[in-house]
Amino acid sequence: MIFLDLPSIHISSLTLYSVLYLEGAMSAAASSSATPSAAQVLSLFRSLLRAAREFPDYNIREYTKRRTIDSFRHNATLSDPSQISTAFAHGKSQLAVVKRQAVVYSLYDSPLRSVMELQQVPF
Amino acid sequence: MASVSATSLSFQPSLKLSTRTSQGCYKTSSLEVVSVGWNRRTFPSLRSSRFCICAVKAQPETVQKVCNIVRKQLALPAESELTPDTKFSALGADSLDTVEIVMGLEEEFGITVEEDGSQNISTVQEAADLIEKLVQDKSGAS
Repeated sequence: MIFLDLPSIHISSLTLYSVLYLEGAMSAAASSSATPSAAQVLSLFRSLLRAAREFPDYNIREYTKRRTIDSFRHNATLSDPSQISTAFAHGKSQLAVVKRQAVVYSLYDSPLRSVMELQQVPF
Repeated sequence: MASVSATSLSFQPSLKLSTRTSQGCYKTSSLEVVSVGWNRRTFPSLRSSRFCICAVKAQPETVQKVCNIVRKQLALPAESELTPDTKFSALGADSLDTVEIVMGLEEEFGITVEEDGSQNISTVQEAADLIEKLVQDKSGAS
């Protein structure tokens, strides 16, 4: 018989993930009724890019920005109102996740910085 | 004194009975003042006004920085012609591109552009003027 000795941090992170997933799903279901306007979509886009800035880690910060831009570009062709509403609700839930995760990452920020963050190459 | 964003309107009464006059414009550093004055030959009770418009004019360095960011954001070649009056839409930018440009400008200049302000930006010059104003406001506040 094999016992999986998972550290407590793994269990807590799994619990956190499931809570965030359920919360995102519920908020998506709740707000997928009304079709958002173009101004609301752009406001969400701006909010996600602003929230991405809060990550102290370069890689996660750039990944979040890139993922946001790619997703909005991909969904720019949507024409069905229900699909637009669903995508918008999903974006709002992701914004909440990004904001929370930025806070979590800032609590465990490393003093080391990525070489990509250097303004001038020293050589 | 009525004040609307970067434009200030001042009305000064005049009791002189004279013919219509006009005044030119003069510049002081980055502040451009355009003054238009007129007087009517009429009763003193119907006093005329002097109309003054003050607008922040962006410096060439700011315009150049904005051009560079727009080029980078829209992946334009370095030799492409980009004037201050060039519209973003003419360069093939959509609304998402415009938001990305504004976000890039925020990071470059260390400012925060409000949503209503960013909606009014459609050319390089407008972006540069808004940045100049926000930078001045920021330096004035600190």
